[in-house]
Amino acid sequence: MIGTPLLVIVLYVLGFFGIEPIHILETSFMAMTPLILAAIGETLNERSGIVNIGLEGIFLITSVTGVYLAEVTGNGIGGIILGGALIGALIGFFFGLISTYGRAAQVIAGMGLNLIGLGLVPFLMMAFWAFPGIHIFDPDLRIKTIDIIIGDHVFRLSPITLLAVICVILIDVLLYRTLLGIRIQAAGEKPEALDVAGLNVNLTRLLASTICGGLTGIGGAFMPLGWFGGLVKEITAGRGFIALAATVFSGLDPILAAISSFIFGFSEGLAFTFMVTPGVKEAVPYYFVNMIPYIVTILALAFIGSKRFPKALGKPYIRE
Amino acid sequence: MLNWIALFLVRYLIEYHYYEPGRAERALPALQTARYDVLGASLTSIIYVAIGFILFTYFLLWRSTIGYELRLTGSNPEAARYVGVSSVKVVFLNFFIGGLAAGLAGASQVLGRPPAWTIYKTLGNVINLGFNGIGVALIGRNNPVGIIFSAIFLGILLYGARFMQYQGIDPDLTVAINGIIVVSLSLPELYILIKRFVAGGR
Repeated sequence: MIGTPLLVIVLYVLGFFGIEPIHILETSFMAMTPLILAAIGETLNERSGIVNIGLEGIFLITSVTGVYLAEVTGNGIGGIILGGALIGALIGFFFGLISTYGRAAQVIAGMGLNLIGLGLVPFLMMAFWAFPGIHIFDPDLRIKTIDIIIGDHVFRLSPITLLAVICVILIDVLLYRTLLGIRIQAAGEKPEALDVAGLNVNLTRLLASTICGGLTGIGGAFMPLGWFGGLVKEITAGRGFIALAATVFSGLDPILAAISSFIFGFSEGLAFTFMVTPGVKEAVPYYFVNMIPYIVTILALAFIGSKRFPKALGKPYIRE
Repeated sequence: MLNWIALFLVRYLIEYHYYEPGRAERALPALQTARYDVLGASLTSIIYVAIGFILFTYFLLWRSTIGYELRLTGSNPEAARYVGVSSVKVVFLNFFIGGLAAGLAGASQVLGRPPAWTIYKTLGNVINLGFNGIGVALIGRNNPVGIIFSAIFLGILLYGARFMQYQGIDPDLTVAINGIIVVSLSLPELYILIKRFVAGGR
């Protein structure tokens, strides 16, 4: 479509200013990985009728538990699976539980989850490592990236990024071409139909919420383990909300959600590269560069137009 | 989103424009004439501003036409549309009052807080105010009197957090406790549900 040639043109033009296009792409791919995972998870979630705005909280908690379990298992991949996917799925499961059986007000519960994450992260960091604010772990625990040599640049691609792209395809197939996917969509559009057909609406929504939590957890654990190499309190930097924006922006379609996540990840890559490129570093103050991803997100949301949401979104299903 | 834009903007302003030469960790202190009078230990007369704002919102929301339209749109959007309430007006007023409140809160932290009378570069004294405020509103059940009490409650929690630090517990745990309270408040009739579940139904 028009996206790819536009991207190539933008990168070529930026190349003239001495800004490395490979570096932008590399950081964009790293940045988009947690966004994609959370966005497709939330797409599945909202399709089934649960709105979870607590993604930021899940990101925060799983980033800490990911690092801790990586140290416990002595292996980065173990950290991602146990500390990321498993803990994330547990959080998603509890959120689904209180949203379906508990009939909670999902937006408020999501905000509460964010607060819990915000507060728990510094506490957990003190509790696990007795050092406030920052934790640098053993470089062996990081996820090894695949290094592709292009010319005289090294392009580092993380296998989790590939996993994220595969997950996009899997979720797309699941949602549109399997029976379970149709049922998930029905749970969001018209849960009465599902109930009349004899299936349990709450269990379907619970399943979707658990998968969403698991995917978001992988994204959360990826941030310190696969990308930054260290852990700070602000490691997530609002990415949970950006993933939400990507979900809404894409109208709850997994492929479009992935593309929007790439756009937001690209703006982050742009910001990072601006910060380190010698020529641009002095021209643009560091603070304005950091604002770029968030400004892009707001502008994108301002132009969504009207996207359709599932009719039963956010409403607990109560059998009469 | 605007959170992070505002964060970076304020850090930029502190570093480039409002810095105090010699002190790296905070901005210029407020002018002597701009500070509010100190009443007690840390309490300044800015609390009168807070109470005044609560009264203002009470009269606006419960004793005026536009406030009634606001509340109607919240509880029954269809009825509001049918009656002819302009949703544009409601949304704008909503954001306006919210921004007004947040701005007052932020300014009160600078103009009403001895001994510093300024912002710290890490924005430590303002950074969680917004999210905690959401918790306060929820605990107070969106009612002015309730909000006063829940604000005092959360203020006590947050102040106690500083003493937790001496025992080695991170003070941000109070934010997490606030979150747990918010999550449990979002569950309606939790007690009834548990009773029903235990009695063998679903």
